Amino acid sequence: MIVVGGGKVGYYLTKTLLAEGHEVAIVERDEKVCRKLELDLGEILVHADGSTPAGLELAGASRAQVVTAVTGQDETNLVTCQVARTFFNVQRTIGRVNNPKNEALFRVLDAGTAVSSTQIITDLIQREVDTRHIQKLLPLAAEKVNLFELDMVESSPMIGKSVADVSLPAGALLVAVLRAGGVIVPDGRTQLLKGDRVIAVAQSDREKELARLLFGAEV
Amino acid sequence: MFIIVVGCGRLGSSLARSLSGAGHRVTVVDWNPARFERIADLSDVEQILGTGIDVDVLRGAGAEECDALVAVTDHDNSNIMIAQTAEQIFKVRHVVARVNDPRTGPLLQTFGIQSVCPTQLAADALFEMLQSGAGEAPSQPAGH
Repeated sequence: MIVVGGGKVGYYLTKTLLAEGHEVAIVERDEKVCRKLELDLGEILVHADGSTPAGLELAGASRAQVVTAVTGQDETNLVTCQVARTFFNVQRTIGRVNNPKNEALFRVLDAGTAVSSTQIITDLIQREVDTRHIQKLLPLAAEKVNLFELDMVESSPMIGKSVADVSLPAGALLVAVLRAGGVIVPDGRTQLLKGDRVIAVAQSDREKELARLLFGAEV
Repeated sequence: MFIIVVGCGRLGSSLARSLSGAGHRVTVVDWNPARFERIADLSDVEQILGTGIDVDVLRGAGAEECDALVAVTDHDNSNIMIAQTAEQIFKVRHVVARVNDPRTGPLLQTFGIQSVCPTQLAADALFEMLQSGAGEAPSQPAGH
């Protein structure tokens, strides 16, 4: 595995991967940073520009299964992933993006997986303050479909009804019922009870319909 | 033509000046407001303050309508990213990126990005000057 970028993220990522038993090379282009990294990563440190074919070659990209670009610049991370894919046929490329808007570009250019820590933290903050009873958990299929978590609060008209009697929007499905610390995979006969947390798969733009259906009105 | 110039350094500002002088509609993008001083006298050139590697900044500069976009910031990777954004997301017809490092050539060819390498152009021009200069000077046989 190749980690491009010797800053904090690159450093700790490399240490973690090594601890898990992976073969890792870390690539850093700044000499001063390299001197700091030499102390405990000296054997696997490559002093080169990881966003260039020459630099990645030096790091052994032709043998790498994964290249992760975690420098502080989105543009460098994007180009690194593209070079790894195009020149070295690396199957898995992961790029850190600071600007969440650049996630889309990664997809359009087929450069690999983009990870935006800003987006992850924003989502976590949203979750913490989200007092509504529907939460989007996980986008699927290029965000056209979402996994929703719905809370069966006391006022829900669906309490006591069986799954078969719940008329979900087209294309939606209740896939799990979380109850008392356990998971129930529902069938048509499963009854919904107060306090249940229901996981549903539905099209991303059906959120309001789901809310209306399951709570009687928009919560 | 409506042309967006991303990067208002020495190259970008000179280019903006030439294009504007030739009657084209020009918009210049740079995140550093001090740079716009170079083109302060060009009243027809629109200035957009922002970073070119942000799709919303490019959209605000008119990337959806422009005829051409040139990425001429100081950083090769930024220019490569801006050029691809312009081509793939905004479908700009004519996109050119400036790359300073001549070794980047094969990379750009593979991604299908048109580029200009000022470093290479300068090296070639100097080479020509030195070559022709050497040809014209009369050679003195040693000892005279």
